[in-house]
Amino acid sequence: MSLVGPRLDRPSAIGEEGRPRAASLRIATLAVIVVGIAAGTAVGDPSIIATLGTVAGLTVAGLALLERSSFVQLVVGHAFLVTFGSAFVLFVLVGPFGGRNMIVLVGLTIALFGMAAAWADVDADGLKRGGLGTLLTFGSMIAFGVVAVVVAALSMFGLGLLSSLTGASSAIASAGGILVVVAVTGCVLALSLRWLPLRQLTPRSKRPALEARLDSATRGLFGAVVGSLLLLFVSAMAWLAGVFDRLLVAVPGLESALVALSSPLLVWPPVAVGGCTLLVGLGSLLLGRLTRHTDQKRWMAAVVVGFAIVVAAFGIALLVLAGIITARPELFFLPVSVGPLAIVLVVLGPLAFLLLVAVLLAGVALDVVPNRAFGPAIAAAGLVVAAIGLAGSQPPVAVACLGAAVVAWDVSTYGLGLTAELGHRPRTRRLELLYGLASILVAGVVVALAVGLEFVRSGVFADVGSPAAIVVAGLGVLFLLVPLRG
Amino acid sequence: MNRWLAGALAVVALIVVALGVALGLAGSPADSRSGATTAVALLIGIVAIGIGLWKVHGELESTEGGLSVPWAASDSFASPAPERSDRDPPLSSDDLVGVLEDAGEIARTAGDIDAGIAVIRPALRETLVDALSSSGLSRVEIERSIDEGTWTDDRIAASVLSLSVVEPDRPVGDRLRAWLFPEQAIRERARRAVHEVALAADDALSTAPGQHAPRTVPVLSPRLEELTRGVDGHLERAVDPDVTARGPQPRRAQLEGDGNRGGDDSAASSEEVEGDRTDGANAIETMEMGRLPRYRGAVAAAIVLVVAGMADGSGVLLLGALVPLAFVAYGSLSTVTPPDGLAATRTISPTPTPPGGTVTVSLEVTNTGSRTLSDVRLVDGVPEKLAVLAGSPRAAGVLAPGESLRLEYLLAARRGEYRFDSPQCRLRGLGASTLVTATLSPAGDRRLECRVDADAPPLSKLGTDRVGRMASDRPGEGVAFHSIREYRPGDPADRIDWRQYAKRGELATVSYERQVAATVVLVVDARPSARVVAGPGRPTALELSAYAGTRALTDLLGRGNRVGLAVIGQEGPGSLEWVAPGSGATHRSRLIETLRTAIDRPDDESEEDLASSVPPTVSSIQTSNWSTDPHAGSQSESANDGSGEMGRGGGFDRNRAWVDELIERIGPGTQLALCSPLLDGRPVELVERWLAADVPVVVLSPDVVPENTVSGQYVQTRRRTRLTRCQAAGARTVDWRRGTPLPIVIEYAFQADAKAPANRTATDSSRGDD
Repeated sequence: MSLVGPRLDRPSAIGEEGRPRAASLRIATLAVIVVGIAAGTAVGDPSIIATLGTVAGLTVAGLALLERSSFVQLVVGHAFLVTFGSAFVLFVLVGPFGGRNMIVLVGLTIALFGMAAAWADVDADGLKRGGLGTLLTFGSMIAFGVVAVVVAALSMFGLGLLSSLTGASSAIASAGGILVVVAVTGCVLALSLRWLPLRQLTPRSKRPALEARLDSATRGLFGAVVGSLLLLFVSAMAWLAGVFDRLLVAVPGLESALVALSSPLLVWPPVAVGGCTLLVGLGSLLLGRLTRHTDQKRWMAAVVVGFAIVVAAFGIALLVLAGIITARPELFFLPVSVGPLAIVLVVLGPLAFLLLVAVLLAGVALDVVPNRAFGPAIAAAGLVVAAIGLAGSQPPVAVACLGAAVVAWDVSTYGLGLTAELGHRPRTRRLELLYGLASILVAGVVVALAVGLEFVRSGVFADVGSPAAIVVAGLGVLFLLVPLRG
Repeated sequence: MNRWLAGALAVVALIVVALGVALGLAGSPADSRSGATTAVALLIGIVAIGIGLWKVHGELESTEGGLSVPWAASDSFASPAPERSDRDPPLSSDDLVGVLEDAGEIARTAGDIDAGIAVIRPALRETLVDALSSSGLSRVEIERSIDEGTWTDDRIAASVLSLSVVEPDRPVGDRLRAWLFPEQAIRERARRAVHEVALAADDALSTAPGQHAPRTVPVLSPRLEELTRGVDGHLERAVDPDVTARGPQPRRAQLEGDGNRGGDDSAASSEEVEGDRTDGANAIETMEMGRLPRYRGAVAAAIVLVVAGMADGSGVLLLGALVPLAFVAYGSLSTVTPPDGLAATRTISPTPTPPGGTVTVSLEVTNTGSRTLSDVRLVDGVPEKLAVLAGSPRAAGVLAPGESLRLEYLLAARRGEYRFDSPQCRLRGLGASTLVTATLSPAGDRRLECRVDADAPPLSKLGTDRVGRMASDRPGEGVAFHSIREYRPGDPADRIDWRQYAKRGELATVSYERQVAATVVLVVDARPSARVVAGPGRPTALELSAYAGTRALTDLLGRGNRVGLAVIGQEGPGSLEWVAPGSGATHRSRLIETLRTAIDRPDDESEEDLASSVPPTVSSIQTSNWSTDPHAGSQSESANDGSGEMGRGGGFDRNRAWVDELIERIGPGTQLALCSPLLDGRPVELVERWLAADVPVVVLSPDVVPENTVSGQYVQTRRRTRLTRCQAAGARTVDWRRGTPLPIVIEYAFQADAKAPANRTATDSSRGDD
């Protein structure tokens, strides 16, 4: 079972390919949380770990959910990555520039992310999947955004054309314009009717009636298109031959009637219907292509998330616009106040996430970051970062963080070894508790020793020491560490 | 790194540290950091980061010259997982899978699920027609019922089988899903239709003896590798929704080295027999010690801390480097002492065992030494071809002196001799960085023998029974009283009814039920379609048929009858492998050997027969005469199982050859006993032709079809329909239910036979008398 909530990994019953054994992970998590609370207290907010844990946990949940097959879970996974994943990465990348306390919080966030990744059994494949999904979400978001802008521009251009048409004062221009509108709208409607899944989405009992109506509609559209083109051709010929003008003179009221054809009341409805139908038809065509293979469900979910973000952005933009036009500040106050943050989160976050994933994957590829022990390694690294941040202000907590880092790594990898050798079925809790206890004891003794030495150093030897001395001593320690095997 | 170089470096390092300490003692904390100091610190930091990266560089999983971490692919301990088994034999229940996949593809291409339904309709419709026609309904009535949809209450299922039944309106969400994912819609409709067809068939088909016999062997319990952990942590099937048609499919873990498990364990050489049982108390065969590279990251962390301390001027971080280094020291100092005594005992029960049963394996390792072993991990060497059904072949624990660690698990038995690999035992010290991997030589059983004649009596016990113990309803010599008739001169004195003579003074002769010897030819279906399994690691239908045949021939020979053997699907001197009827121990061993050969021999069927074992595809169904496809035996049978299939060129020739050759070879009065899984229509055709030639036939059909999938349910319905057809043609049938031991099935068959109409029994007996 999981620590809290549903388990996110899906190992087989044998389980030798799964996450570390649960008792080990519990000990490691306990160590991380205890020092996390201590570090939070040190920076002034003991409960900050809950906030950080939520962001890191939901980021890992997003990564883990991408392994599922349910479309809804995939959409939720991508949504988590774009939102919480972006927030997590931006915080991790930008946080260290905010001072020592922020370094501590960044370290804790990384550690919590690592522990969550260990629980969810996230490895390089999971990261790769998350990276690709985020890339696709971001790409689709940009693409949909561009398409939306292009469509808006085209719409504006079309509106201009149609406005000039509706403002036409000559009879021939008015008649030609309305005939073109009818012909184009008819073509668009006929095409859209082929693309739209009208038959598939209609109840079975109503399909025969629908098919009959579709047949008659298609015939009608065909007739309208052909008729309008013929009329256009005849009108053009008549106009070139001068017959048109004579006809206008001969028939009183004809010119007024033809000019009235370009009135907005007659032009806009077919244009609106054609435009909307075209959009929906293209959308359904795209959806049909995207769902062609079930394997593409994962990527389709990413595209859906990108689309949803664009729709939400446009909705908010419209809301702001409406607020500005109607001079109602309550409509745009909230979007304007959180808008920049949301834009940074949605636009820069995925890029930052991709950067982080690329770095981690490069680390795995270069064998610097372990693949299967990814989570414990990240958790330990995060606690080391937190310790560096705490070193100046809270030496005991900093050393405790280091102890917890090693315990987290040690106990988690022990549990991982158990998983690999025995799977998930045999009972191993006794072994794990024994080992965890020994590990905590060793860490406790060493931390106590280090803290004691630090008190001695800062107390008895407070007046001695210089940066140069530390550099030289550090160089010596480095020399000592070079031949050391791990 | 060279030891001398490392030593020199350590000396230099200590000197530099001492220099630093001296500088610290000599200087003042008020010293401000100079530019030179900063530059030197920066330079050192860059170099140190390089060293740190070098420290952690390289896969933990592949440390050159040393032991790998346990999760590395190169670690041979418990790798590949002993629970995983091979997947070579084709599954018995995949017939409809290809059709469903093609239907989904067509529905997608056409943008209309009706186009996909049209692909699966013929197969399901024919299945239903075949099943319902067995109940005596005319095909016209059945077709009308299907067209009108009155055969089921499920309108969706009815609409799948008939174009004229309109599917009920479904919610808009369902319609949207069907448009976006037509493959899922096809599978869902097929599932409902197949389920309804199976229900209708259940009502229509007659029950074969043995069909409802109790199951004592787990059949639905999936293998461990077919399970996964659900969101609440409980075990559940690892269902891959993309392949519902194939049934639950395990998500196979992609581990390097998987599948490299050493060779074929079956048919172990005779030299290995000698090592079957050992009784040595000291079980350790080999031992390997090593140290794991678990704390490279700790060294790197120490370097990072030192660099950070230098950069920050923080002594805390320099001191903090002690923490990871302490764990490095802990790992180095913690050692494991090789165990001075481990005793292991393995029991495999039962062995030998017949195919299809379950085998319990237990392994117990006892610490016979004087030290406590703090971390013991044990893995048994399960043969690759056997599936673990329950339990676990791995265990772990702490072993005090005299304590034991025991593991127990269940295996599914398949024919063959399987040698268990030596169990592996891994011990760790308290620090878990050093370990000892020992290979154990357990006392007790080392091999599992699964034989078709596992529960048959030894050869020496055969032939002691009196010839002719088969009772008939004719009067004659025997044991059971039959009738009394008038005395005829020459009647033996011991048959005169003296009591009647004393009472009435008339001589009368007692007749007993005449006991005769029967001649039975066992016909075993060894075609490719019989070389399928219910699931990976399970016995093939042919193995089960051979086991049933062995049981039958042993029993028949023991009762003094004459038994012959014909193996169809093999190339013997004629068109089939033939052993003429005979009796005696030598003959029995020859029969059993022939059956063994039939199992072991690779398929030598013609391409036509191999093609017939391939599941039907859409191309075979869409053609107008798809019922004449080589695989039509599993598609359309009610009309053409006999005549229809006889229209198939190669199949017809082969069947006719088998029928003709067998009828030529068997003498008058011989009975045939066919062992076949009935996974296609050809055996039914054979039975009908033999019966038409007035040869009594008994059909024993081992069930190897799991019904927990759409395709499996479909195949099972087809199979049961064939069984009913055999019954209707006049053959005695026995359905060897999956998971039921053969003796129980035979007992049920006897009970059913006892309840059968007397005339059929009499007819059969009279046939056997001649």
